[in-house]
Amino acid sequence: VKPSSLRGTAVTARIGLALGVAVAACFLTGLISHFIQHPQPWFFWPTRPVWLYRVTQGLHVISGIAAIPLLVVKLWSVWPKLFQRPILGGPVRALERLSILVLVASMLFQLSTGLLNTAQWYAFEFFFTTSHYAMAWVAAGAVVVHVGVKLPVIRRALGEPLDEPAAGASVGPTRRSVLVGTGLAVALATVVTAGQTIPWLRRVSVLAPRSGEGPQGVPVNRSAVAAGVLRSARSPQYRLAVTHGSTTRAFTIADLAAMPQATRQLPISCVEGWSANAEWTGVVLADLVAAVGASPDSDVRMISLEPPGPYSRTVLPARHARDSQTLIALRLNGEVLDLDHGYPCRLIAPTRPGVLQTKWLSRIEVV
Amino acid sequence: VRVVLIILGTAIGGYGAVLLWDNSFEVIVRIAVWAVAARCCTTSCSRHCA
Repeated sequence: VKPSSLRGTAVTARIGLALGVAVAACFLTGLISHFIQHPQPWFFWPTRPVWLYRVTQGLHVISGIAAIPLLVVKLWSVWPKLFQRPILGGPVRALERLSILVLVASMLFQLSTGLLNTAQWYAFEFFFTTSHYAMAWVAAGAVVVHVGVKLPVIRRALGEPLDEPAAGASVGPTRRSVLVGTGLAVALATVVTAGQTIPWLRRVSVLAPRSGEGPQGVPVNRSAVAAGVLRSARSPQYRLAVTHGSTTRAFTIADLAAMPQATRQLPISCVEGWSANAEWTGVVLADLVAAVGASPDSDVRMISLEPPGPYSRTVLPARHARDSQTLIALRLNGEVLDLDHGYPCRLIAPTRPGVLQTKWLSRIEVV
Repeated sequence: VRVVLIILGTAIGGYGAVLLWDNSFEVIVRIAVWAVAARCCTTSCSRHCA
């Protein structure tokens, strides 16, 4: 069998279909994460089930990683066609070639920067989230255009038998084995990384950037040293200020510990895909909001001891702020919060990305 | 259906391009270089596998 006989539209269309499913899952779950971080009036994000963000963001990273071998095999399957003459030709062909260029470049951009982000390795020197979001629309648009341009070919190819009639008599790999091999590659890429989201895969997920390791059994993205809060977080003068209009109350750690304490089982789920179950103990946020006479229907701004930065202050929507599961946590897994987990106190709320679970709280403003 | 998909895809992709355009020129160049470099690396890999 000549190597080139393994390529063909029957293989390309089937790989493309799987890639389309992975990309669609990745795009939709990415939009969810974006709109949680940049709330819009029309966007509804529930507080139950508490593991919802863990699932959507885990699926986002898993589907993105699964898309990598699919994209490589799809590129391989059409490789000679990419350089067929004429390179541009007439206007229609030029348009098709341009759409493929945009499609391939944007997809590779998304998958490569996304993968580096899961490892928190920012080799590229631009802000990840805004460029990843913008390029997601470019990639999604390019996929839709590509499907539109190739629709007749796709329909025909999906109806074609996978193996050529003479393939049964030949020796060596077949198109079917290409598909099986691709499926195995996708499964392998998934299994060795998905443990950061799926606890029972942790032992075999040897390439997962985070697998439940960290102080008090929970991973840490940003340490107290990196945040520059070592001194302020341990200061005897520390107070948590809670404000509503002209009303301000300042709480010492002892004051917070003297308030009614609640314990909740909540996962912490990061935008990079890792997540971990944990037991959090602290004050129900709604009690602090009530302590300054504010309405439970108010959004609440969380301000960290960190110097001003993209995530040093976050806004918690009212739906989450009044939820009885939302805590200002003082303890994690039965111990006083580790400094790297946000000592003296931090926010923990259901269905929120970890980056919005503000650590080292200094101020809570009812807005 | 094809025309609808092409128009829809162009609109979606165009929206992404507008979002990208909000970045400074320097950042746009970095993004473009990264996209082209990733494409070159992968196509070289595909050529090697071929």
